[in-house]
Amino acid sequence: MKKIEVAALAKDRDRILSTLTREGTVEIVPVHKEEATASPEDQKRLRETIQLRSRLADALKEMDRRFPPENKSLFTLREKISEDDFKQASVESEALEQSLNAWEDALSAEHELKNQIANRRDQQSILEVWSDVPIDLSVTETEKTFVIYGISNDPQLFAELKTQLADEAPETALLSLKEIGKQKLLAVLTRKTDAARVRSRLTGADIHPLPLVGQEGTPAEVYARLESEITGLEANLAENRHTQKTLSEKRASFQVLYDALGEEEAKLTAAAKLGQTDRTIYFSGWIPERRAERTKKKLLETADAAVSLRDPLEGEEFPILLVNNKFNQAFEVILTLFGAPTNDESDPMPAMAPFYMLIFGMMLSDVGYGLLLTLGTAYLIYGMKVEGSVRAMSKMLMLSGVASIVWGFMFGGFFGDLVSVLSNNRVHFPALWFDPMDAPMNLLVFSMIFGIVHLFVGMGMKILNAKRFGNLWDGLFETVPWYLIITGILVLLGGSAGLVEGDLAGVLSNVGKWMMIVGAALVIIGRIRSTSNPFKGFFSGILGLYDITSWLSDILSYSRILALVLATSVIAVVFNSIAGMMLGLPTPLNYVVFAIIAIPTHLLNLALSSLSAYVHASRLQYIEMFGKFFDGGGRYYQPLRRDTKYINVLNAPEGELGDAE
Amino acid sequence: MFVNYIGPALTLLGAALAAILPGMGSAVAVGRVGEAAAGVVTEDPDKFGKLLILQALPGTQGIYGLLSWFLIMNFSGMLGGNIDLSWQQGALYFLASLPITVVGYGSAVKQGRVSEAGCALVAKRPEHQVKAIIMAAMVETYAILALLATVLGTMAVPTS
Repeated sequence: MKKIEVAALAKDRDRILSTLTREGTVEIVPVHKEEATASPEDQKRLRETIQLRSRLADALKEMDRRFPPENKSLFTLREKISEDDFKQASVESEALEQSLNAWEDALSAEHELKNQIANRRDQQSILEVWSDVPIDLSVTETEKTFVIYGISNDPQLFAELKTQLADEAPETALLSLKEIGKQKLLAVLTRKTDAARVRSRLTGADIHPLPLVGQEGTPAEVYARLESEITGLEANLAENRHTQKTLSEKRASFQVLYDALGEEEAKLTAAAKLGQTDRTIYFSGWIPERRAERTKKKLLETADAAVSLRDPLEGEEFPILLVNNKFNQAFEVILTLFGAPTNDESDPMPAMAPFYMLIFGMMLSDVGYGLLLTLGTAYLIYGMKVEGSVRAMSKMLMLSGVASIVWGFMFGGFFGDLVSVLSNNRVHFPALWFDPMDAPMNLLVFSMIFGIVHLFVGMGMKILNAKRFGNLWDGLFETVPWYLIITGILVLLGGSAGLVEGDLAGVLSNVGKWMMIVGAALVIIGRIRSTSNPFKGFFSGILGLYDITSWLSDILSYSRILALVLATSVIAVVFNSIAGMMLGLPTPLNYVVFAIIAIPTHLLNLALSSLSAYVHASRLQYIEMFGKFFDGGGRYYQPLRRDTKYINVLNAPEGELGDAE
Repeated sequence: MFVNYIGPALTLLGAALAAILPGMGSAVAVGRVGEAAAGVVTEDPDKFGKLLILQALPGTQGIYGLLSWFLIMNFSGMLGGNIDLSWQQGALYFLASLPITVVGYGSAVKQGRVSEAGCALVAKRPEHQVKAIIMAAMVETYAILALLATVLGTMAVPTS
């Protein structure tokens, strides 16, 4: 990483930021310590940009919902367009904004139309029972009287009402217009002076006045009129839909504008990080060494600016960019998901990548599953050309799938025991090394020895880091004793387990014993060395020997390799034997039935076993191996660059930095 | 004779419990995570894929249970129709099944709770999904160790 420092004229600011965004190489360091404040003008522009962008996002979401794109796939692929087309979007932004307005208007018009239709349908449903009553319901009063229309549902209440009214307002007439079962459609004629009392009695009898439809004519006429209005509104709605459809053809332009505005937003946000006077701007940032000269040249081409490059100062914190060969790069995703190393630490990838691949492969260890995984992810990468995190994961899984194939041959797994089942036990898929189902103890021991190697490499990284920090001796005293102790225990066990015969066994036991003693002594010496008080150091050293327990649990943790190997293969065997029962069917279709059962179940096992392998291989890295050396706490490099959602601008140099995400 | 069936019955009991309890635990856990995940999906359907992985995590104990069932049935020969097992053998198979039966259930339920909390993490910070996965996987370690104990124990039972 290099520090880049730039001073330029304020009028060139936007052009310089555009160049930086296009280059995508500089992570700008804010000049102000506290939350930066942009100029009011910038703030206004930023606000407008964000607002327009969120309107576009809503519109695009709604368009996708109403008019789903035809070739929608599980993985989003960005449209590729040229730099010029991308710039064109900002030029056309006003026209597009009008289309956006039209789209939003169309949506609210649609809402309004739907409301009106619903409103008329409500009225129709009220009128339905009155349809053959030949009365104009809009006539509700004369000079001296009111007419109230309503429905009585309860004959008993109706009878009570009748007696009450005869008593209290004898001039009131209760006319039954129509009877449907217990229901009575009523017209109540009453004097205006009695109206209040009559109304309250009607409510008491559960008769509610018919809401005013506000249209003249008999119910049947009104109903028909409403119907024709609805037809008209529905025609409008169809037209509205058509307008929407036409506008939705602008989707691609909207997407480009959305991304162009995103770039604008990023630039304006970055602008707040710059130091600014009336006439000049100043900023500094981090840039990867191999890109520095090119960006400097581009900046000088863009504007009159003073650009200087320098190495980071002692103790100055800079962001992390992992630079690895293609193989290690594929596994970077595992590290980036965990965290970043600090500035001084070495990149753990070279030590980590091969082990991750081997452990994942061992856990899945099946030729068939490995092939499916490799081919599937290869298709995603080379066939569909997926991008971003899906691509990163696919690369990792593709290589791990290859390892699964290799281990599958070692342990003799091809979709479990598919070959034996299909051939009716005449042919067996050979295990080049041994079958874990027959000799699980062998695999258990191997897993743990493999784990020890993994941990030893982790400790090697610790020595390497200690050397970089400039305290190599500390690093050696913290690791070498444990190399001796653990190896000593292995040798001792090897000697006493009867792996070798005769005198050699005794020799091995002795050698192992002395390695442990020397190792333990070195642990104590190391502690004495690092403390000023030798007694304190001695006792701390004795306590330090208790680290053996953490070693024990770390090594035992690798037994999960055996468990996952068994899980993958035994489940495959179970599925094969279930499907295998179908082979006994007395029909020529038995192989078809076999396939119908075997294919989905094996795919399920592949998915679950790969998930387990991914999770547990990661865990062995994160907890066991990283525990031996990794400090972490760094920050990944995040340059100011195009971060587009829908489109991929061609000729942009961002890809050249490798796939560092 | 009734006595002749003690061996196979104990074996089958051990195998059945190994399939039942971890399976139940996983069902409870996967169900709970599913409820939490569905809540997140109502807000943001795009997170479905990430959440599905979290939901699948506590399901492994059920698989380990079935695996133990299969191994016990296979090694005792009962899968092939052999019920000629002494009561001592039956008792040993039963005892061998205990680790996964007990730990499988408990760890599945607990792992489900961690995954459930992980759903909340994914809802707010989807980029840290892997951390939620690893935290849940920490719990699974003990199910794996119990599975190993059951597997190795089952294999250690004398067959003749």
